[in-house]
Amino acid sequence: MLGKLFKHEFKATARTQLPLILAAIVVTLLMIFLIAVQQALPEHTPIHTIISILSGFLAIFYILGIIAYIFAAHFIGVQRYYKNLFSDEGYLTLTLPVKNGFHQFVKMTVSVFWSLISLIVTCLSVISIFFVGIGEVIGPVELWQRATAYLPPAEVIGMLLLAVITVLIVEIYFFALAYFCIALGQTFSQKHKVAAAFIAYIVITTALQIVTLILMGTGAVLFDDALTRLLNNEIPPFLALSIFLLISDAFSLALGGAMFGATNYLTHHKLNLE
Amino acid sequence: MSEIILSCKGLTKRYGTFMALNNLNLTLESGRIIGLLGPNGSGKSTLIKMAAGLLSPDGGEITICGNPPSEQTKAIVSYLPERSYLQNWMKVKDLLELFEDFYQDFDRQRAIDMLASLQLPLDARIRTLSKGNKEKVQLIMVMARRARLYLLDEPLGGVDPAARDYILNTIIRSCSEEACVLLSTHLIWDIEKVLDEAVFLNMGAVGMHDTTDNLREKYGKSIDALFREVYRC
Amino acid sequence: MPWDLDENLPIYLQLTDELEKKIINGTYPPGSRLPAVRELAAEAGVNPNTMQRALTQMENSGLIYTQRTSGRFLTDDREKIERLRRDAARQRIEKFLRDMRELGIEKKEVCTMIDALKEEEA
Repeated sequence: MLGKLFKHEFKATARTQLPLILAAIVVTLLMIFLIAVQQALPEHTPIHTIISILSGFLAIFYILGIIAYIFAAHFIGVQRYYKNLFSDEGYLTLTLPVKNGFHQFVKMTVSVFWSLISLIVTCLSVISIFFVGIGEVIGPVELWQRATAYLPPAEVIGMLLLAVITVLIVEIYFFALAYFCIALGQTFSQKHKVAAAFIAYIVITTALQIVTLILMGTGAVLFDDALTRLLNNEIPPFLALSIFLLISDAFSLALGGAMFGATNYLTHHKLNLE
Repeated sequence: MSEIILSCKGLTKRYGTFMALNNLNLTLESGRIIGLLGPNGSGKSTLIKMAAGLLSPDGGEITICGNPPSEQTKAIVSYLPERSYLQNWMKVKDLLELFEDFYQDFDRQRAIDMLASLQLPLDARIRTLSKGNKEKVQLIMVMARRARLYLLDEPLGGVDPAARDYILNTIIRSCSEEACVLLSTHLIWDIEKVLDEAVFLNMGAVGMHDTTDNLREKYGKSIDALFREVYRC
Repeated sequence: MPWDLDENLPIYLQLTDELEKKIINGTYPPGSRLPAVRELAAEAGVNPNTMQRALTQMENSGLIYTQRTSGRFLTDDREKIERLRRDAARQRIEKFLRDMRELGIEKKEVCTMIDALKEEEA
């Protein structure tokens, strides 16, 4: 059953996500083309100037477009969740013979998947434009060599791993929070589910920010000793950053997990269709 | 051999201070078509949603073939809500695939035959279908399953008379010894000849429950007339 | 098209009447096989169980018999059907005469009126 849920979830979401990826690729190729043309033309000629101005404009659109794409990929994930479970479509989805938790898990996984893809596509897009811009392509092997010239290989790998894990956890956290707010919204208000979800979002994020501030303040007091050493440059900044990220990731994961569990409970016992 | 398909004992459901279902007791057996009758707010939709597994009771118990609502009961319960639950981007054949994937009791050929008899193409996008056709597609999907319990919430609401005949015809033909059809309606006159039994619901509890012919003999009037009398404003 | 039935009266009784009509007027010839219960019910626009009840009643009166594997059959006892025909006709005639009496028209006058109608048609 889980496999079938995944199949249908991908089928439903691919029809909007894939065109976005395609659009991103097309825009990237366009930018590359323009930059290549710009470089090929002799400087200080009118046509060179025109192309330069054009690519200037397009760069703005490109940046806006990339941001919009990432935003859209995430928005689709949230909107699909709401529409398929809490609008009239829910009458079909929630009477399918699968455990409720499966729905939550599948939608979360697929949303995170497409969001990660959006980030990867964006990175590749930026990197390829950068390569065209500087006129050379730096392969992964050379990158590795340049990086390990500055830092020990273990650290490089560690940093990469940490970056990947952090991004993954951030995405999971984002959707866990979004789903939780939607579930809360529909629990408290039948007629204005979306508005209630937004209110829930504001309330929760505010509460979390306050809690975070308190925790950080407490941390600053408790770890005063360590902080002083850090500011005196006695602790390598990368190490400090890594530790900070690890702690932050752990918290996010725990919090995300808690919200996921709470969402499960709400959608099972406090369902409010209609 | 009649089996108990749906059983409710002391079933209660509250919305704030409003009692949608108030200590409701009901037993439905297989091989019957049963009408759930009552004015708006009497608890018809709530009862049906509970049997479909969309709402949990606040008190009492409800079982389908002996089991409380769960993913196991959802596999043997076929639910037709009042609203359209179709995903607009799908084509009809996508919907067929969905039902086939998730429901073992789905009879694909039967669905295809019914769609063909109503001239509904498999390639049509649901978005492009008229409201009436969407309702027909939904009904066909629900009735093409060989379920144990069919829950039809106002299946005739807002449908033209020809379609109404088709729907009633489909319900009659889908009848089997193993299945029970529970349909809620306030358009009793159209439907009463098809009903085996009538359950009168009032303020969340069962007022009357008997076979339709018994009621006709006892009260000397149609179920529709009886309903108007019982629920006179 | 569903059969024309009155919801105010028990349906199964009306179904036996309708089925008897169809037997008398030859829609179901003697000895022929009746359609399945569900078919009949769908045609009549009624619940299969109700149709079943009507058929059972007719089985009890000997008009229909069931063969385990082959289904339901109409009796080929032509005399029985003839009797049914005469009884049904007589019932209707008696009712008709009662209705006419309510208008103050007696049997003799009724017969005269019928003869006049026959003349007109010829």
